[in-house]
Amino acid sequence: MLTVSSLRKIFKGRGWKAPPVTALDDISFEIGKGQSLGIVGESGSGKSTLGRLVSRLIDPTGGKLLFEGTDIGAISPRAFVHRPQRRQIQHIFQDAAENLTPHMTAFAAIADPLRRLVGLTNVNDRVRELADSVSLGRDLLERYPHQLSGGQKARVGIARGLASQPSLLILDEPTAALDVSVQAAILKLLHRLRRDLDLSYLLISHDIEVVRLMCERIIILRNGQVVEAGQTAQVLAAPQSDYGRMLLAAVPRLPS
Amino acid sequence: MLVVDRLSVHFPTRRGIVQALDRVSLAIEPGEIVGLVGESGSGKSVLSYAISGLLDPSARVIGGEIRWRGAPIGPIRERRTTRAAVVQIFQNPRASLNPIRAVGRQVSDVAGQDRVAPLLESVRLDPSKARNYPFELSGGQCQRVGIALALACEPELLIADEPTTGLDVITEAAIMQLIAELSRSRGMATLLVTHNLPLAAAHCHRIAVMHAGQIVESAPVAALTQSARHPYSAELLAATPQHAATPDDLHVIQGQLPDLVAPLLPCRYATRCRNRRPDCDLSPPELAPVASDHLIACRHPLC
Repeated sequence: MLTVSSLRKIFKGRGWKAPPVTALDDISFEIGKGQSLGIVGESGSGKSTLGRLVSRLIDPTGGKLLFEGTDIGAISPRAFVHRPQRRQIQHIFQDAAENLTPHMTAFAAIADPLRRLVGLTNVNDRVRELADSVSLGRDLLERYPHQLSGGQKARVGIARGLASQPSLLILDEPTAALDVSVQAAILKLLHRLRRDLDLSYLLISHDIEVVRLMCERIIILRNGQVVEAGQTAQVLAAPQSDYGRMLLAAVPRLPS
Repeated sequence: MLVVDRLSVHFPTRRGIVQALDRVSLAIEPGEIVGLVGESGSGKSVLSYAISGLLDPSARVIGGEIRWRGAPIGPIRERRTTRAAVVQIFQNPRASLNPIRAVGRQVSDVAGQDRVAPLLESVRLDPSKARNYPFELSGGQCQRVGIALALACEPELLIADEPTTGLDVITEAAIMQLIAELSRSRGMATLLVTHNLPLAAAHCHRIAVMHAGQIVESAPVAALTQSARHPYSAELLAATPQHAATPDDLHVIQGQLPDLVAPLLPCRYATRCRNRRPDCDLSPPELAPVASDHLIACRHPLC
């Protein structure tokens, strides 16, 4: 479904004579229908940049982004908004708390993509249906983000992402801001949605445990380069690179 | 060194009185790292603010006190008082830095120009970042500047409120190692406030579990992780993803924290508890020892 080959992103340096920054270098991977790929790495490794390239919020410097046969990397972000692929790829942002518009109710936040991307005019039923699908109480739809808990905001973010019936979700740290118990509930929800709707996930996280649970395949990024890629179970059981071993050794664990 | 003795704190609000802390007791010795874990809204930050003496002046201390080396200290923020021995790392790194000064200058204000580079390196930040302003740095980088600032003060007690949220595991491990090193070499005591139980288990000596403004269990790490006695601690442990093979195995804690404005049951965990019996509703359970250094507040603990 999505084939990324030799993807590169170089940011111009900010300010006077600042050197350019290579955020991603020669990244290649594939995500098939219904598959889930996890991207892990430390902050600054290029994880979020990768997500933003795939959802076409920023332009790649080189390489190809083939989505169902079309090179979406060649479409400018401005033109991409009007393409049919825009509905198919949805980005659910890091920290739902900061990414919901504060003056929009949960209802308005979910209705917005329905009106703009799907072109529905009568959105009421569909908003309620989406709220049900993410187990968000219908009585919460009239609330503003500040009146919702972290878990509820995450559910609004997911419902909003599902509104245009996408086939690929880019989940950027979907549970980083949440408690363990709420995290468990959201991960279960994402897992169920993927099964029920046959979704593909590109899940970006610095939490290796989350990727272990959610993704069959994993890529470890470091300074914009792939240091390790493969089946999650295999990579976690026997990392091949020094960096992979170091990363896994640093994960805090409960004594078993 | 630091003793929190049956501290109760209320906040009057428009909705009513928020009973934020209820008879909280906690002690920290020099060189000790104590973890304070619990869900969001359980009162972890209120307690850490109280210890730092930074509670909002609208807070009402209903009972109990905090003692620092035997002398009582006020939990509420007063005009221009600083408590140099106790330093806090704040949850929101961007908000706690001065937005219009380069971060290196902020560190040098506290530590002097010579120590800026080594301090930044100790939190895995490139010293060239000293010239940057907070808005030019990522959240994780600001967080590390905040940690460098706190450690530059050479505190006797470090209150670290979610110090590593948003940081990757390698940086997290480096910062926790740095804290552990300072604890050993200088006898710095640390209160690590977090909802990450594996993190607390990996780096603390003792863990206190908080629920709805009450400490429900306090025990050495091994005892808490291997044989938690309070039903809530057991639920928290079960909810960590490490124990699940697939997302379907993940355990979700039932119910929600009670509304701290409403009248509360004597045991604030009762409505969520699987072990609830009629006598639970008679009087509040006291935090009492079940083994040496292992305290719980529960009438019907797990075996």
